[in-house]
Amino acid sequence: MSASRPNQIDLSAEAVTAAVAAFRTDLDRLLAEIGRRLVGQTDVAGAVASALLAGGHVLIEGVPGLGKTLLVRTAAAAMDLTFSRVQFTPDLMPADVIGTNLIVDEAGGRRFEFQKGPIFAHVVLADEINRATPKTQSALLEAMQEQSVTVGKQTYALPPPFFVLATQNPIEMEGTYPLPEAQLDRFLFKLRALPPTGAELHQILDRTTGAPEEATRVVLGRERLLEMRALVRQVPVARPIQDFVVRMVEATDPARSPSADVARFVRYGSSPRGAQALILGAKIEALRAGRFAPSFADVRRVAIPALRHRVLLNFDGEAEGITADALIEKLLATLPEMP
Amino acid sequence: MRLGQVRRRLRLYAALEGGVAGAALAMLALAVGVALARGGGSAPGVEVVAVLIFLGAAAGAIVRGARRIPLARCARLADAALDGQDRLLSALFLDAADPSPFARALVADAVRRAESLMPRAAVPARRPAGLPALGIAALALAGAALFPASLRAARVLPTVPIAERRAPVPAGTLDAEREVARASAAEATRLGDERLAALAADFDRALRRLASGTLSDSAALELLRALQARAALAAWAAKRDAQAAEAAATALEASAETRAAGKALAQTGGGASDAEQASAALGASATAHPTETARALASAAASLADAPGETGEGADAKDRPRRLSRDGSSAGTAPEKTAREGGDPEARHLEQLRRDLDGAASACRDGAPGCRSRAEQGGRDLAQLGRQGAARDSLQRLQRSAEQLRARVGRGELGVGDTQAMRSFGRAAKGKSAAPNGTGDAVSASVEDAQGDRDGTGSSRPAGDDEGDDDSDRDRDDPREGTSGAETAAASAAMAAEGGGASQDEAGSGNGIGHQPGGAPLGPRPGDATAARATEAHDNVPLADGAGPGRAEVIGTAAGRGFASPGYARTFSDYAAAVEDALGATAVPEGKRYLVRRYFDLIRPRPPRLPPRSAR
Repeated sequence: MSASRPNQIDLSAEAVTAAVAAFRTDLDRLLAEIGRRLVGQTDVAGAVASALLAGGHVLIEGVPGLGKTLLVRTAAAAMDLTFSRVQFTPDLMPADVIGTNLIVDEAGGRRFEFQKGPIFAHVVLADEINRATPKTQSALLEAMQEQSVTVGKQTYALPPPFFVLATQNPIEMEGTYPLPEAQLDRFLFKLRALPPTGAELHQILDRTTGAPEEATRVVLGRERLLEMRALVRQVPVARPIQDFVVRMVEATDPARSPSADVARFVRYGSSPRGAQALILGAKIEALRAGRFAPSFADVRRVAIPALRHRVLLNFDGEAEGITADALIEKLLATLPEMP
Repeated sequence: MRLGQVRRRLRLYAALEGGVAGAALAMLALAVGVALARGGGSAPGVEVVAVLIFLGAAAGAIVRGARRIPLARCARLADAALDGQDRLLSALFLDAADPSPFARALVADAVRRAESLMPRAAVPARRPAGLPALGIAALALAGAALFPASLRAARVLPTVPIAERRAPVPAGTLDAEREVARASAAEATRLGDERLAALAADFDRALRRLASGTLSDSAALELLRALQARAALAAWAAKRDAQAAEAAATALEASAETRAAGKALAQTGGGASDAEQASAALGASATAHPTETARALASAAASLADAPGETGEGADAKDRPRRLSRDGSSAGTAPEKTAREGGDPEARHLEQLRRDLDGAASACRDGAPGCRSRAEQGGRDLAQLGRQGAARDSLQRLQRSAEQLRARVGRGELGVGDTQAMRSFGRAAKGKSAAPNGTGDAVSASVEDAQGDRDGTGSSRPAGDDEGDDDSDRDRDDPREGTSGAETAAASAAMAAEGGGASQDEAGSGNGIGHQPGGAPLGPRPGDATAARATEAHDNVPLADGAGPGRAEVIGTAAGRGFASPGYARTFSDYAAAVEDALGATAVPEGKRYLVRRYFDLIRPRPPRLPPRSAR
């Protein structure tokens, strides 16, 4: 392993094969540990793990009680990461999230001491983020982008890995402040938590109304997580796959899309961050499958969570009840993989 | 490597397809050539044909087989045969471009997997796509070579006889009309009304011909139109007779001496006994009180002179079958005109009766010996007049039935049964073609035009106006108003469809009484869409089949020029002000502000566009 670049690993071809196999094994162990505590939501858990490995953040939309907190708490515990949860409310202030300077009396006199907020954790759950004012939202989202916070003249780096999982409740819109589109773009994936099936509900009841469950086991360390992140970045992407990603992102732009529906119903298409999310997601999908490069199928698999919050509908689209998911699915069905 | 084998296999199949396509093209060309050569008296040899086909196939195979096949395509096919994960494709592109350990591992993995690839699995054997075309071309060539030229020349297209007769009408389709004809005939027998009997017999005959299919649609339309016109005229005359008889009976009842005769006449509604009773009562009165009887008879004669239709200036002059007179190709004028000119036999009959009554009055006033007999004759004539008036209901029923049947024939609903008729009605209600055949479009278009003209006059009345009206009986008696709006519109449409009768403009001159919506009672209100349209120039709106307007278009249209009502504008202004307040006072993201403002801008009521002022 070379130390030329932080968290960058140099491997031979044989070592790459072994590293990919280890990646797959570790990721499977992580997901198995999460699955041991969390019933169902396997897709959401997999996407959260992907975002963790890609270095992105996740926005989950779902009604309360679907296990979002349990998911992220379990993931943090399984990777031996610090975890904090912030319940966003309208009166939550930025200082409540990032921290504030306190005056401390010492023998030598008084001085300011920075009291870290809950954002100084590896994994932060921003519960019901759309209930806080835009000012507080911006404080969090800026920290997500910069991986640091600035209080006064002092900048504090957030501990890597830094991962934010924000939630939104789709059914209560009264008194909420929907996230601006520019802020939504900062989330790698937007996921939808679906209600459990009947069998899953039985399993939840069996687990939660009986004897206390065992504590979450640590299956990955923080260092291992950073190594896995570095491995993801080394996965090569063939030009036809990358070309498909580029054409896919271009196809969400109403000015350039070959789809009449996109031209009619979309106000803004995906930003380049969407393409980055597609590539990173596809790379992790390839590694999860034990492959060395992503395929078209990997891109297709992550297209909806990576693009659904980046395709902004116009008035016609909203009035007609069109969803970004439907438009993306249609694009996936019609866009040729190789022109 | 294996991709080379895949590419060779692809090239082989491309050449095969090209060969088939080339052979097919060569055969088609040869078929034309052979046919022309045989027409000229010569024919090419089999060897020549075979060589030409072979050359065509070879050319096709070379052209298609020589085309470049990209390795990426081969890689995709191979990947699809392996596991669909694009390993070979990625390795192909990363082999030279990326010397990283990952790329090397990828290539090694791809090579290892490609070892197990069977080119046959990547490019499975398939039948050339051009085989059906090749078969058709071979048949064409064989046909050209084997078919005798003399037969080709002698072949004449058979003429297809055009059926003039229509298909017989399904059983039960004309039951209602038959029942009307039967009832009318029975009523004619009871009243001794020859006019009603003749009409009932003609209607029944027309029904029989329609049922047997011996009457074409156009002939049926013409026959029914004539029947309808005759029935309408007869019904109008019967109504006039009834009113005249009633007036005469009232005049006789006014005098105590002739009251019995007047009551007998007022009860005259059927048999000969009533007539005899009236005659006897008038005769007895003339014998006992000649002077009073003379006065009463003179009064009855005067009432006949005042009867509607007698002079053409009565209160119901407007009720005469004006529109139906247009239907009659031979009439072309109103009955009152012909009556005044002495051309109407019914009017002459009434005038003769008035003179007879005047003569009887004079005889009785002068004490002439013929007073009693002439008074008795007057009583019989008045009773006869009443009997003729009693036939009006049957005549109207007959006229309506003929009109409705004509409309059905015009819409092409006969011969297809009630279910199809209901379906046709449903289509017409939705504004689509009323009939599946070619005439239906014209009919439905005429119906819509007639309806539109009627609605657009502003003088139409709602359908419910007839109810509770003092002269509702008269309204019902009128031959024009007795039918529903739909029926008259359909009849007009049928006439338009057959190319004769009333024009669409004339059809729109009615007052809109009927069961169809007649528009606003006082015409279009200011601010209505119709009012707005009246001030605007007509725009051509392109129509296209499709899924219909979307919700956004519906919202936009509701606020369109001239369509937004004052109530809508008031509601809009209330909400728009509240929205601006909310947007100013609440922390709403800019993206949502844009949506809200855009929405309210879209649904803003727009006033009708004013007509351009003419330059002076």
